Amino acid sequence: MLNDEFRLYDLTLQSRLLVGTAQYPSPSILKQALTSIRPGMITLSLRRQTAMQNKDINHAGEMNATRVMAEGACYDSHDEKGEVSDPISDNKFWDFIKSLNIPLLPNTAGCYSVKEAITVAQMSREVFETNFIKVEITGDDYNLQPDPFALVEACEKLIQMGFNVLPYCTEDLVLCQRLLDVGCEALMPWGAPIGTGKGLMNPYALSTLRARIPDVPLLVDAGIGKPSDAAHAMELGFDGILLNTAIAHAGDPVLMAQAFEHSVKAGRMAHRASLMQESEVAQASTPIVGTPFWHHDEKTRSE
Amino acid sequence: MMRVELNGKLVEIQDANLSVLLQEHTGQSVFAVAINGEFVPRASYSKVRLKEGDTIDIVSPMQGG
Repeated sequence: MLNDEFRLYDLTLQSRLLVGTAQYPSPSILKQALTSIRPGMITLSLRRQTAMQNKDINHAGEMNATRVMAEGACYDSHDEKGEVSDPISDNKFWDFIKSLNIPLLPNTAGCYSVKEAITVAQMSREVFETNFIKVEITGDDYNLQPDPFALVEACEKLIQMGFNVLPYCTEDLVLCQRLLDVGCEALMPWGAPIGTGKGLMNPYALSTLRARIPDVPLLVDAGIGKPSDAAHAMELGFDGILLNTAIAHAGDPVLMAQAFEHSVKAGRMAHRASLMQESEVAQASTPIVGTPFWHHDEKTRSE
Repeated sequence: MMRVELNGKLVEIQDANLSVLLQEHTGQSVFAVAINGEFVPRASYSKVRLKEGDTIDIVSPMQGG
């Protein structure tokens, strides 16, 4: 295959599959999934340190262990050495993430305003030491739909502050054009609402987006449920896929991560190879001229 | 003595210096800080004087999607 470089801002990515790090059944499974596919980027977030994490609270480890067990029966709170490795309590999670040496994409999940998103982006840049930020501003609590108006304003300000902005947006063409107008160099429209796994809800709009914005990296972010959804998006000409839940909630997340890796590659190769034109009538794929019982016309057939 | 809101909880502090608060209440080495919704760069911690009623957020890396 010829060189098929994938660049976002000043970064060349090694994979067109970007994945989230949340909701895995255990740190061990997260680690196996990430190391087996080595995604192009991994998404992270910032959260308040809870009272349990503060030094002045006694028995923090005990409380965390209890909570971890309560959250999921299969949550593995011990690493290979048998040490407690709750990624929240002591930030072994962060140490592990750094050790992977995969580019980081912090997000502004949970923000509802321009100001909140900018503050979280600034804090993320300091902690994660990257200019990349996935800008996510919730406009509706029910379907977690991005607020398009706040998104454009936040992206404009963040770009002026030197961030490499990746906006999580809807597939609305005019919104996407406005985001480009304010300086975004890549866009991440949703396939469907976050965590639904419904796949590409509006393939027509996504195709239109690709056709009208042919030269800017477009990634489908959110809503992908199956590897075939990812392949479909890539066949439409999207440049990459960002997903989390479809892998993390799979029966075997490690195997599913590998399935998505293959599907993204397959979809990309299919797009580059150019798909055949659909036809309304059947056309024999096997050449029939000269086959033993081939007849040329009606007259011949009746004889 | 003054009261501030630290990660959503009211706490009483003796010293108005942000660095002192962080030393007493931070359980991790990797974190970032915002006061009243505004980012406070790490280099500014020692210069920041807290006021009665300030809202302080201390955040750390977490899993994300």
